[in-house]
Amino acid sequence: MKNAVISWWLRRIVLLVSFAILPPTSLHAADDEAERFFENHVRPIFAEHCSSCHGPDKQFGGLRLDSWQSLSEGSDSAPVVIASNAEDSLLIQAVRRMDGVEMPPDNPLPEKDVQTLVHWVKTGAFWPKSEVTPESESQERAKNHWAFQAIKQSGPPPVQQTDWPINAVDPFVLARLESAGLAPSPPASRAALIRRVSFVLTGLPPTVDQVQEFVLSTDPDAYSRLVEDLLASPHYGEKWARHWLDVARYSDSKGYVYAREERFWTHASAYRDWVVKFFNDDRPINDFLVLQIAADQAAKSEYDLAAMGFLTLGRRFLGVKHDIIDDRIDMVCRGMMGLTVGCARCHDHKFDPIPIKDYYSLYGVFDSSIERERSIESTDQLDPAYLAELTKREQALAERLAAVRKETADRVRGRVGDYLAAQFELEKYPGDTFGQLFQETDIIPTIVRRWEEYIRSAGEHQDPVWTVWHQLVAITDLPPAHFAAEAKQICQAAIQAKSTEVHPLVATALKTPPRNPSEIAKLYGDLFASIVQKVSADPALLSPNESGDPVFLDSTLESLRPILYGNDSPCEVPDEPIVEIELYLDIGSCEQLWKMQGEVDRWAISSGASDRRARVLVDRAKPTAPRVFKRGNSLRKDAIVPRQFLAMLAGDSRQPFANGSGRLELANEIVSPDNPLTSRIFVNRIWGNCFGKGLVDTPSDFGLRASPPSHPELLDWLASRFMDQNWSMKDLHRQIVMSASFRQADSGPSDSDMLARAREIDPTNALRWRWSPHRLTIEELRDSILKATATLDRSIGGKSVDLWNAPFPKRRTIYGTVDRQFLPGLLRVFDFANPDLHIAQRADTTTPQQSLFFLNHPWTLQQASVLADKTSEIEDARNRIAKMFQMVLLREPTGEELADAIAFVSHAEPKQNEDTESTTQQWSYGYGAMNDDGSIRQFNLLPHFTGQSWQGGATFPDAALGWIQIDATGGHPGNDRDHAAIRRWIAPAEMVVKIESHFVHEPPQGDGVRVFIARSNNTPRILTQASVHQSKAELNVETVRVAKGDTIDFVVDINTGLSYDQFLWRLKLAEVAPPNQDEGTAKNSVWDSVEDFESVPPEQVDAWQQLAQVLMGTNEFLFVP
Amino acid sequence: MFDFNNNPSAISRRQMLGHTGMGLGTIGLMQLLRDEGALVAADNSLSRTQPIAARGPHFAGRAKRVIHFFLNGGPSHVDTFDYKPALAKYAGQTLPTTLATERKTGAAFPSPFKFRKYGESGIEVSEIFSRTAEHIDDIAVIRSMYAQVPNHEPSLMLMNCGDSAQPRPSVGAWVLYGMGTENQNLPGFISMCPGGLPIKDTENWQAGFLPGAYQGTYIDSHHKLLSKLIENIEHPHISASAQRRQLDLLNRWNQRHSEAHQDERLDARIHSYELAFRMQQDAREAFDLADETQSTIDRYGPGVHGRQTLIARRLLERGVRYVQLWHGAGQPWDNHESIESNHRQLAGELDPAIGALLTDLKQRGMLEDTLVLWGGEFGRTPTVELGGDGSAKQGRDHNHYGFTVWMAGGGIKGGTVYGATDELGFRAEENPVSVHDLHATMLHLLGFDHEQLTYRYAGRDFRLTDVHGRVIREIIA
Repeated sequence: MKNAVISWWLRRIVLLVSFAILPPTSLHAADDEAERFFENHVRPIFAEHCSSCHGPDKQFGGLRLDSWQSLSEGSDSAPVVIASNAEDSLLIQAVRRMDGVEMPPDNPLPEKDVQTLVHWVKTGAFWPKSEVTPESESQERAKNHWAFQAIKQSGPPPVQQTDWPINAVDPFVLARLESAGLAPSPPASRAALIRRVSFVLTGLPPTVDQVQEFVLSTDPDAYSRLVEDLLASPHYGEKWARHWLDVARYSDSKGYVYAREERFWTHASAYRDWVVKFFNDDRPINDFLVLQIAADQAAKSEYDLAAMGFLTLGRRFLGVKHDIIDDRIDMVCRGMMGLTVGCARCHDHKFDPIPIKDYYSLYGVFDSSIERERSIESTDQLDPAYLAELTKREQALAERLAAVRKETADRVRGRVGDYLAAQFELEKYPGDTFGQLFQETDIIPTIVRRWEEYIRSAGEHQDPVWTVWHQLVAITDLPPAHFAAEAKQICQAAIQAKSTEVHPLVATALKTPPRNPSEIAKLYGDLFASIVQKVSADPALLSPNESGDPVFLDSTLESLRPILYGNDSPCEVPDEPIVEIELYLDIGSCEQLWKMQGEVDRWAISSGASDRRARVLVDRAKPTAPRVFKRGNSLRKDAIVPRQFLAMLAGDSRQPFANGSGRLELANEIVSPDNPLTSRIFVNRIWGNCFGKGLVDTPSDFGLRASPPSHPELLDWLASRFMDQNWSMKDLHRQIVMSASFRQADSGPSDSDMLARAREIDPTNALRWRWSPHRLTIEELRDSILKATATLDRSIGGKSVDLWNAPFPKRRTIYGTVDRQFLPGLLRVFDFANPDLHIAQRADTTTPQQSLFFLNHPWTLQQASVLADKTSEIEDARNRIAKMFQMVLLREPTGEELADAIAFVSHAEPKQNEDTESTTQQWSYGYGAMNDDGSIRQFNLLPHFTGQSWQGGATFPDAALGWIQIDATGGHPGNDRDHAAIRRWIAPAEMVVKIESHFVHEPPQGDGVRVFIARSNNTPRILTQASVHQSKAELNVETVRVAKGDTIDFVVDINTGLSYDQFLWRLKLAEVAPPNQDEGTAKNSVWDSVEDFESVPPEQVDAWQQLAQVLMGTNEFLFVP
Repeated sequence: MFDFNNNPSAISRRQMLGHTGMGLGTIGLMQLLRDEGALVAADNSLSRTQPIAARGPHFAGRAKRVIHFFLNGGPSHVDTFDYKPALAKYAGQTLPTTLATERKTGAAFPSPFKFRKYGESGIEVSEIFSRTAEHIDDIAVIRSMYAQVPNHEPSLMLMNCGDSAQPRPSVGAWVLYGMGTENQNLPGFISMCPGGLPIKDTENWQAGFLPGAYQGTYIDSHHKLLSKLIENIEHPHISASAQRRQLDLLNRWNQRHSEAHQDERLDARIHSYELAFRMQQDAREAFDLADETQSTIDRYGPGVHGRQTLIARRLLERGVRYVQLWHGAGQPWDNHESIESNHRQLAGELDPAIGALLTDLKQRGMLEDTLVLWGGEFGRTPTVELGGDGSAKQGRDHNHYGFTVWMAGGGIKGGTVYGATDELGFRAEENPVSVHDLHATMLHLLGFDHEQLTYRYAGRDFRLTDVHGRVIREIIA
């Protein structure tokens, strides 16, 4: 009886809470309001007045009033409800008893109910979404869905053209072609084949020599040897890692974060390198998957901890935990099993048999795991100075974190009454997506919610401290007088209850029963406050027990201690990194801790030490019991669910996970040989990335909406062989690329009727009657160009580099920085995978912006120039053209092409012309030392260009070159006199110039700078000079005669010390008529340091470079036939 | 709507391209194909080979293009288009509201600006938008907008991409995906922001899971040099005629290559080189204001906003589908302090430009099919913001409970006020309009059923309005 009463109380509490806590105008609230209206007012009318004739049992007129589908699609006659249109809705006409339809037939609805229905229809006729597909129907379809069936082992089917198959893959392909009346294409040419297989396995083209050797080889095993060489190449792992990085939404940066936090990951490149190496080593893919979910428990080496970057390098979603976990669920389920479990976050999956409960079962797995980050480099590999500084920063962070946690807990303990009072106005404490800034004096909503959960859970466990609380809370909606009377009764009963039912100290406090709801909080609050006061007066009350934890010696007090002290107390901030607990803190502490965390991160990233780091998940000491969030709203908690695997895969024998969070168990379920999805998904991804299209064309969705496989038996054969071969990816690749199916030409069948037929009945080449040409990805394109210019850096692994800004590193594209927040537009233009999202398959578009890249991008121009330079020693134009063809297109030019190219280079315009009368090319930007005689010692060009300024490196100041910087309007000298900032002008021809310049040094601090204008060709070299500090100088030179190639240097160095030395210097050189000559002979060219400062480093462009650029822009280069 | 997984159609691309020619010509062809029932087949391949080719929406829309003035940071509605005389009555008093905002606010803070009625509709507008107000009879003011949270980042995402947390395509990307753009020689979706990026950076015009071709092209309108406005838009060293020679050679070789290999993408790429070549010239013309008269330039006002808005008009005239104009890097309208001087200055930068744009669009007959949208990510509190020490800072905090946007042109019923906030302007009370409703209405005006414009990703048919959205028919003419 008592239990029944309590559960009645609890139901009321749940109701009360779920209505009270919603922010009144949030979007969810708008829907919630509609739902509440529907459930409280509309559905009861249907149930009471209509359902006996229009319900599950009877459907008069074909109408069910418990199904939106029925309502909106209509009865036998017409739509019954037209949302927002009450006048035309049959339902309203019927209950108003207009137009001859009168419902309910016997007694009219009360006018109030009619009005309710009118309002409901007018406001859009809200209907809860979850009822779209009846559960049973979806289950029935799921039961028969191909992807959920066990993998069938069947041998290759019989075929007619028995001489075509080369390996076991081919009969599967050929049988489908034959049954469709189609035939395969002839084999590709050997030149095409070697290019194709090289790209497919390594992402790189072969060299021209390799092509020739292969073409001329008479060795019957030549192809198979080639394949083995490619599989053994370290570039194999790079190519295939990039495909997986698309799946893993890889990024080197976190995405948008508040400025207080370091925005780059410390562990991304270690994860990327781990994937590359894993593929190169051909370790089993089931281990690959398990380690990425649970390396903390499954790894046999420190190095394998890097695997968990898969889960931990997603976006941060402004720190909102629910979204981070959602991203992880999506990665695991869609990435590994092709299940769109994320759809079940707000309601049961609409198509697949994935109930919302299963989503929250997985939610619980990840909610029971927290992030930890650490080095996986053995410490003897690291610079002791680096480690010492790292330790120092980490310790400072840890100390401050501990202090903040303690201060926060003390503050909460000091005002438990307020936190209890807050339980009665939860609507003031919105969810954790609602960002308010809190001061130390504020009540922190996250802690309010922690109390809420604590009290709720205590009630469920019939905790003797909280039983009465729940009883009292349940009557708070009574009128005041009734409340006082009923509260008194509850208290009297409680005082007499056993101490196992009502805690004695609570019973004592109840002697003064609460007269109104706010006194409930006060009553409990005062009780806890008195204990906290006792402890602060006499800390010895809490003495360490044998395991060192402080406890009360008084057993009555001790039974209350966990509420106030100890790790699980709702007063305490969990002992976790700042990333997990920021919502518990006031804004000042939060920013301070993030800053200190940033100092740790930045040291690890930018110290230059090659400290490989891993960010792993580890299990919380105590796993959480997940609760379903109704409609995905974390404030609307519903039933508790166990942490366990998906019902549809686990079947009837499903057991809750038993070890910690259950992550390892989850991982093992995913790679279980009985799981029909995982191996199919993986082999389909590999097949798809070889052929450009999977056997199933939705590679990350094998659910009910996925189209069936084009070759179901082949998919199963590949999947089961894959598992039999110890999940070897190289074996899988071998099967695919050795097949005749892979080696077909792109031309289609040689028989023209057969070709026409194939085009007609299978225009998308789903049955593989030919090879579909593959457009190079941006990675393959860039790597190929570097290979064509013989400048590709083939080193494997390491930190990411900025590829698309000068000086344009030469590493493979996979090592380029992927900054998801500032992804170069170029990458998106070339359909690079969006690093925010799991991408199963890249788009394949053709846009003018891609063409602009070939025409104008500074890197393209640079590469064209490199190619021209590399062939510049070949004097004979024909030979030079031939060499360029070999380097780029891996073949000799045809006679026609040779003629075209000869004509092109011999008629090219001079590199300077009227349109672009360029005055930018005479400038260069460097550093060196100013000798006393005005000559420059060791002039060097500045190596790095940011797009805005020239400087020592990507980070400023640069480790080696320091503060030196030159931009359009001025700059900064280097750290010493050997590093003067030098803007150099080189005379394009013999002429006389006049110089006007305006120099400014603004800061009052320091001692200013020295400024010189000096020439190279004559003495005195120094034309003018000044020492400038917080002032301006006009530095002008009346006339200087220069010969072609002479330089005039504009030099700034430090005065006696380096401090506040930034300067502005605008200067103009104008060509003037030489003395004694007519004004008219001068060309009046003007060089302006600001106007001429370009975002693109100057390049010399001649006809050969233009030709090189054309070759790189050809479709032949961009497509793999 | 389109399926990127499907391969080329049976239609010969070469044939088709032979007809299309460039730019605007495509529309005619699309119409022709539609009439012949060939569009369904063509759409799949077009989405790959000419992803931004113009195509018709679901039904004949009222608007063909959009320009969105984004007052990033959150303009105060009670100081601009939502007149609240009651604030004066309560000046200095603490309001009985308990709505939580990002920071603490204090007493009611009457607008420091004068309001008066404009036009035949007599809608009250603040003095700081007096030039805009001259067009009030073409404007529908929605005074009952609400968002979800009082923070910039989620609200920017909600306003621009329809979802405050997940990476989703922006409105412009959806529109480009749905209807392409009318001038293939210019980017179809352009976001201009002078001096740097707004908060959330390029996420504001992202393509999300849509192909990269639908992403907004960012332009830092602070620059005047074309090379700094659009990436790779010109060759730094060689002339157009030299480049033409390069292209001629490239075309010859690519044509020859195409003859041996059947693939529409090869032809498409030949075509795209031509488009790129033209884009260089067309972009130069669009961004070069040399052929505008000084009086036009003066009407748009001095400074970067005048120039940016005038460029926007030129882009719209040239068939660009979607233009977004941001006020500047970061969040200029985020006036937690000294709102009077700050808002006066910001509005002063924008007001003449908006007024001039509306005048020009109308004069050219373009206002009727150009949808103009004005607004921020949320509004501001009618109460004064308090500093950490409790002192009033003469500014306002973020307010997502109620704020104002307005639209004009493109099928909008001018001189309309829709919805209302409470007496003091804190919370949308009458006819609340969600951001999804706004998006649904915009798509409707462009000719889309917002529930039907979908893209299959992660096993779901996603749409801009998620599972929400209601077309606000009351503001449609």
